[in-house]
Amino acid sequence: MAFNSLIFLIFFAVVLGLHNLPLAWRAKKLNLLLASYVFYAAWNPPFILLLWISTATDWFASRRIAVSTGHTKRLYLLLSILVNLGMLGYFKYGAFIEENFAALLQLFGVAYSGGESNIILPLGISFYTFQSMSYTLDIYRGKQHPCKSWLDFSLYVSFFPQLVAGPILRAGFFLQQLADDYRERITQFGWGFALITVGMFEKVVLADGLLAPVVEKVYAESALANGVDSWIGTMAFAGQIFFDFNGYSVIAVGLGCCLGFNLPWNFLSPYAAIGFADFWRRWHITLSTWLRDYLYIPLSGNRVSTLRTFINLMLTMLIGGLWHGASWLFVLWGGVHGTLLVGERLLRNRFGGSPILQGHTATFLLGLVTWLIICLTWVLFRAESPAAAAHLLGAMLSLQGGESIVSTKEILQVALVIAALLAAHGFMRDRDFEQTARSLSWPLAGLILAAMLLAILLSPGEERAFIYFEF
Amino acid sequence: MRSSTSNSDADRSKWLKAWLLAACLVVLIIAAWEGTLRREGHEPAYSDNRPLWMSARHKLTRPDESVVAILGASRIQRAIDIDLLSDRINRPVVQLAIEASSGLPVLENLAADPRFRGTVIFSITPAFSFNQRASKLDVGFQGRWISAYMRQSRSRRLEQELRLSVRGLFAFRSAGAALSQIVTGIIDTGQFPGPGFKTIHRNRFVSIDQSKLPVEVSQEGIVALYRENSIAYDSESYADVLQYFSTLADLLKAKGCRIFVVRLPSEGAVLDYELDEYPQVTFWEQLQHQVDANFIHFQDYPELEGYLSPDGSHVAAEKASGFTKQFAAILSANGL
Repeated sequence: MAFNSLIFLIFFAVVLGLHNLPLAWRAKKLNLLLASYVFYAAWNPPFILLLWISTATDWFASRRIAVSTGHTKRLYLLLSILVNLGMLGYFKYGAFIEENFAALLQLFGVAYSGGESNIILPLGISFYTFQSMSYTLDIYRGKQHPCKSWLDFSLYVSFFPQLVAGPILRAGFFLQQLADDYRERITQFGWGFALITVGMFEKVVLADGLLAPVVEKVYAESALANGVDSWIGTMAFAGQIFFDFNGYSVIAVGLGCCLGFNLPWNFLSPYAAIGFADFWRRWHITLSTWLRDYLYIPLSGNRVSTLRTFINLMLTMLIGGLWHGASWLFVLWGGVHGTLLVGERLLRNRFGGSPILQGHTATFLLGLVTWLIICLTWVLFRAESPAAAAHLLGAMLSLQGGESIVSTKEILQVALVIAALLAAHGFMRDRDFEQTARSLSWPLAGLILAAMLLAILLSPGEERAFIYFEF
Repeated sequence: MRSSTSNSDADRSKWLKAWLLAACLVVLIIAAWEGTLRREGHEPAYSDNRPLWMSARHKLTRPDESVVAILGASRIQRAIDIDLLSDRINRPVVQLAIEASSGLPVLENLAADPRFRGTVIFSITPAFSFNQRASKLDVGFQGRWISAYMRQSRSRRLEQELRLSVRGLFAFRSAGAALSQIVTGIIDTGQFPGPGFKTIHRNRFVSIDQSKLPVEVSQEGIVALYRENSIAYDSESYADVLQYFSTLADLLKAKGCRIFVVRLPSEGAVLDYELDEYPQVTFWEQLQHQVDANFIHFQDYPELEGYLSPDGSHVAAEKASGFTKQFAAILSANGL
């Protein structure tokens, strides 16, 4: 059930109606849990079992970890990790591992074919396994007390607004909001529906309506794309993936507000980042902080030698790349980001204090260079094959000429949307989105909401799935 | 910057006023826009796309022996008024033809579906049915639709039906009345553009208003299109296709299905091209010889003459009901 579907509108109206009945808080939580299971099962009913397995394993393992010590404690943690990563490994990487195993054997002259794989990737498995696993890891590290309520824990793992594409929640942040005596719970319909409208506008109008057709045209015919086509298609993808994923995340936050929950922001004007470390502090924040807290820091982070720090960075980014999908292009994408982070750290150590880099112009130029390089890395993320990626990158870097497959109208369309996106990110770079939105007068807020709703209703675009549903 | 939303309740009345303003504006503007479109002749309309096809395909999921599935290309999609045919033969009829396609992958899909027990009307369009690009060797287009149908979950199907229902209510949701198209039309011609030349009905019956075609479609134009998009089979590869068709027909027959293979009328340059490229003896008669089905060829039924549009390939929209009545009578005479 996608947020941009009519069936979800009906579903949410029913859930909201039930949630606002004068019932006990426990009954409301039970309603939300059942709704979350219905939401997930609507896509493919049997896969609800995986969600239950993850929930049951981590509920059991965390309780045992809390009362165990030493070797036994580690064994229960291992159980949680094995079950979660095992499911993820089988469903997400099974075919990829088999394919590469066959290729490896072929190198040694052994012919192996495992047959055609028809494993279906369960929706949101990368998100909820990471979320659930973070709970047991926090308990193991003593950062979180075991949850006393099975209902609360199950709802933490499966809360439908963020179940299939994040934001990835932390137990400490969310479980306290489920407690009976939580005092800051306020249902914010006006603000929540405003966020849902903003997210829908980003997804339906900007990502699907204006940018996706150009991206699809260029990437489907990548062999014919010249330099301008490649840049336009890739800049359009940079916009599409932001509007698509941020749109989803903003809708999730808005749904949370309507139900009386706070959810974390997943993006903070990432295209205004100055440098790649800054980019990762602003892009898919709940994943990057997850990788930082549960991978980079346990690997010793930057508290070790420079070389070891760089290795830790590379490992974290390679795994972050692989998290996005079972493809060497994603691994390469992660590797390139790792290299960029290492390079940036070296440059910062060498030139960081230079006064030349402190002025407004230098900051602007650094931001622009960051964005252009980020765009180049998106080619690896979007291209259908390494050959297609190589061709597009070659065309972009050499500004290859030739007949264009993108029309002038499409170029203008993408340029306008991307210019507006960059200007908005630049403006919002150090501002709080909520404060800015709340500072608008009611007539202006009403006009903006009306314009967005009209654009959504009049948008003729095809219904497209959210990109991050594939991850 | 905060990392999550706040718990502020301070501006509740502000949002209420903003939402009231937004709702009033949206309702007023949408109503005005819908009214304008209707005044200019636009009606709620569908697109002949994958969701509409899948919606039709789902109508065959109950094992109903009376149901009739129509397969083929645009020729039969424009010729048969589905509701009228259904009334005449007193059976549910489902239009599964896909423009410019051979129909063979859909036939394979029905043959493999244990729930389908009905009757198949398979329309042969020589340039597509006997054409390598649109044959089982190249099922890209039809294959994607069939594959999407096979993978569609119940919730996705429900969503699809809801969207189609909404589309059937409002003119502003039709592809031909998209705001961008209207604005482009006004810029290009200085006039508010009226509805397009193609009307697609909910049951996938397509009618073309010849007077509104952007360029006049001639018989020579149709032939040029066929030539551009087809590679005719040689006798050896056609034998493979016949074998494939025959196997599918046997599979359908084994389930108790009936099959009608029909050759709808064409005339003038189009017919000349079809007879030259796909001689009757080599193609149609071999098909009759090898496939266990009922065969209806327009040349054996003079009552099917006189319905074609000037393109020599498709039944004229205003004559589709007359043609459908004749066709229904022929089907009945052949035991349906």
